[in-house]
Amino acid sequence: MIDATWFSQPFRPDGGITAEGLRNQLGRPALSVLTVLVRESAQNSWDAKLAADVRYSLDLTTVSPVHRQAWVDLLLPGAPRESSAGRTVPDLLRSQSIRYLAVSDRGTTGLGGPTRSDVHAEPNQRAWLSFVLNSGEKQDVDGGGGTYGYGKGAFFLASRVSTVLIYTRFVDEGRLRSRLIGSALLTSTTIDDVPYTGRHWWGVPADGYCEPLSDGAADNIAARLGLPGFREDETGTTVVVLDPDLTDPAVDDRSEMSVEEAGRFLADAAGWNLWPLTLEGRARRLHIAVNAHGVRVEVPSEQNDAVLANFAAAYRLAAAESEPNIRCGNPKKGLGRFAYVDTFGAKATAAAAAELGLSGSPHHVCCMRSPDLVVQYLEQPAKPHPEVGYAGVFKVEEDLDATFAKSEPPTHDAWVDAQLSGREATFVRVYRRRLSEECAAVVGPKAKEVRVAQVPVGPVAQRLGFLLSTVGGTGAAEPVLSGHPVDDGNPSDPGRPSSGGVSPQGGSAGASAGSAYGTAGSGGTGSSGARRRGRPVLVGSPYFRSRSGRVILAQKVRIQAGTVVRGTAAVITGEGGAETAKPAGSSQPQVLGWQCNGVFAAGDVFAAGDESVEADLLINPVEDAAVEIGVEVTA
Amino acid sequence: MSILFPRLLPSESDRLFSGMRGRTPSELREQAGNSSLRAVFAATGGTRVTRNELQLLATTIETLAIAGGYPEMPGTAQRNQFDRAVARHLHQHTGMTPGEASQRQVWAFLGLVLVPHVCAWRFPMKDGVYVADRFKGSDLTRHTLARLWTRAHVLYDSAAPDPYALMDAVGEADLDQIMARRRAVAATPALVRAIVRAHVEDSNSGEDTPARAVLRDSLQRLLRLTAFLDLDWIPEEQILQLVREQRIESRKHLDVA
Repeated sequence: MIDATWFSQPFRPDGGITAEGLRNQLGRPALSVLTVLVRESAQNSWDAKLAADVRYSLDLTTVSPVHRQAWVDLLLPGAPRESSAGRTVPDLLRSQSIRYLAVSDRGTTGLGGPTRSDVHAEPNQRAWLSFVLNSGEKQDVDGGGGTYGYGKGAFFLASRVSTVLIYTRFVDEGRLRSRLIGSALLTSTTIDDVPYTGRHWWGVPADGYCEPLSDGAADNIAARLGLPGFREDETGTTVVVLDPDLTDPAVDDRSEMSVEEAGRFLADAAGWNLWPLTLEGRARRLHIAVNAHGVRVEVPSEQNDAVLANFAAAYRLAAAESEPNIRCGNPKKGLGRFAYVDTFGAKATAAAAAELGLSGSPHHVCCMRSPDLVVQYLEQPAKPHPEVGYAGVFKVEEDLDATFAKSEPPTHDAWVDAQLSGREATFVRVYRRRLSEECAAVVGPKAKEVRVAQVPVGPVAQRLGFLLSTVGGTGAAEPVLSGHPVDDGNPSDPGRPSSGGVSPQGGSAGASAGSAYGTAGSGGTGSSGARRRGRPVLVGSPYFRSRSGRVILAQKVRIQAGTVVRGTAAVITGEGGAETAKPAGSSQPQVLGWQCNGVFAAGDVFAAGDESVEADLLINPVEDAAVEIGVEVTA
Repeated sequence: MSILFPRLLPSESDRLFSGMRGRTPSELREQAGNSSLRAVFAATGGTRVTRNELQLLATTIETLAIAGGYPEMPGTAQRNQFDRAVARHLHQHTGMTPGEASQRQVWAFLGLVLVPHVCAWRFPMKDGVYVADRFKGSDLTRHTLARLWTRAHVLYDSAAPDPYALMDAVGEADLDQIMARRRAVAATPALVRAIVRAHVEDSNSGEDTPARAVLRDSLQRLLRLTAFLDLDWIPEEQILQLVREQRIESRKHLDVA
């Protein structure tokens, strides 16, 4: 029986990095340590996946009385006495309860390969080296999310004694093997005139480094400590974070969450940060389990959370885009795919979501790149009504993955163009601008603040319910073209899931519903002598778009070659005809002009050239009125 | 069981109306009757009104007219009183269903055969001619009797102690304003009731702009809304609120003007 002991790393003649330096590699993340831990550890796990699904679990628990003595007997002798944040490993082991958070992945490769860094290792044999020993080693996995190799720092940051145990199982030459080692990043110090880096291992010290316990010895000790084990021929890794920092990120006074609260937080953090990997229908999925004191905590997902369901729907829409729809004009380049769905009444309430900027109805674009880990939720303008929102997803094109990855800070939670230069910086700037433009169109005109009357909405809901049979759908109505900013002159895509235009804008009337909703008049009626082939055709439904910051109503019209047409717009009343007497001080719809191929021509008359064209008839809309749009041939 | 009324055939309506030219109400009274060979009943759907019942109806209407000051030319107040009384009676006591009441020829029978003289009292000749709409039922919002039945029907409020009280609350001209919007406004009785109620509230408040101007302007606003709002299913209290808000809007703009 080999007993593990502590080994402290002395400085080598040619220098070395201190434990403090390693801990600081992640910088000072804006997110809480638990969220960073979830994000980084899940990314490591996903990068290490084998052919099938990955099971990822977080177990927050206290060492049971059965195993407690083993912890003291095995870990206390020779344990380092320095600390990183005031508490030492001996303090912890002597305290009333030893708490830990075990982060496990299964269906992953485990940490194989050489156990000392001064021997050659093939690229696929470097897991142990890059995770346990080295720092800053780039991921060599295809489609890996990590870029710095600093992610493991999150485990140490999350531990108040900066100490973790690493228990792993992998396949080596067809044989299952296990390893167990402890690792601590404390403070550099000098003891008996020997300077130490502050890095410590708990294992089997060898000549100037530390070997892990292996195979039978590793499994044996892990069992004595009560660590989560492996079933049959399972491979993977469990990282045990000793004395996790459960400081409540929602409050300033560093008060601690209970284990149950922390479990809830971890489950929410996992759900909100990892959901794209968990979606049904993926070739390989991440299955998340969170337990607090052995009790399963439900992880939010598209099945049980309305907001995530909307993001998931947007994700699938974005994935279905045939080509990148977020583009950079100069240099010309497709940056990524964007889609959104409208949400009705779905609200984010979790603290872990609030940390990511999400609370209430979403008005965010979830940004991601390979392998679909959430980088950030970009906040965008909210819709006027507090119950209505939209969930957007933006995914970077594969060929720009490296560029966007380079723009991320070590915690992978933003894209920062300042880290790049030239074209690459441009791309990272432009995606953001384009998304803002898209979302401005989604939100629609910046409507004036709408006072929502306190009236029962039951009858309204009943009447409108069919519209919501699938959230974000168009119901039985014809799909409404979604608005695009006028400036790009881009024709709208009728395949869009929902409208950017017909947004409810109740006026002062408590029971009123839509605002100006154009009804298409018949084109070309009443025009004497207009031959049939010369008639203009109204294409699709009218829709809202914005122009110089103002809301306008647009109607696409196909105009035949050689004809001159005039656009008309009038309020129609409940009597069924055009309004004859106008209410005092009321506004009237006006034809502003025509827009064809990005060129705007003021006035109600439009003359087509030698070829038939499609042009947008632009109308100044009127609130709380039905507007009839007509186009007639004048010549 | 509904009561069916005779329907005067259109050609007979034309003939009788042209025969009225130049005749005085008293001459018309002598021609009045309770039956016509050129009137038919709906084949099914209720019980045919009897001649006696028709005679009683004619007598009642005439009595109400005389009580209202006819055949002399009464003042506005008396005229309104007559209208309200007849409206109440037609709606309450004749057993006429909306289906029957929507038949122009039924009103042609009443106006040209049963009580042509009362109609002539109410809408006398102008320059020697009677106005066809008041007799023939070509426009139910203008027919002497049909408009009264419609008014009573629309303003009838079964929840009120006096279901016809709203009729008494608003003047002829104002009500005409409302009822003339027959498709967009009068088709929803609850909306008409709300408009009348709001108007009554407002009439008492004595502000700068006359309540009647506010009424007319708010009707224009409601017409805009009814183009896309279906008010039939909204609780009456909310419709009232909607109408009040439109009146506030109107008053705001009218006070400025």
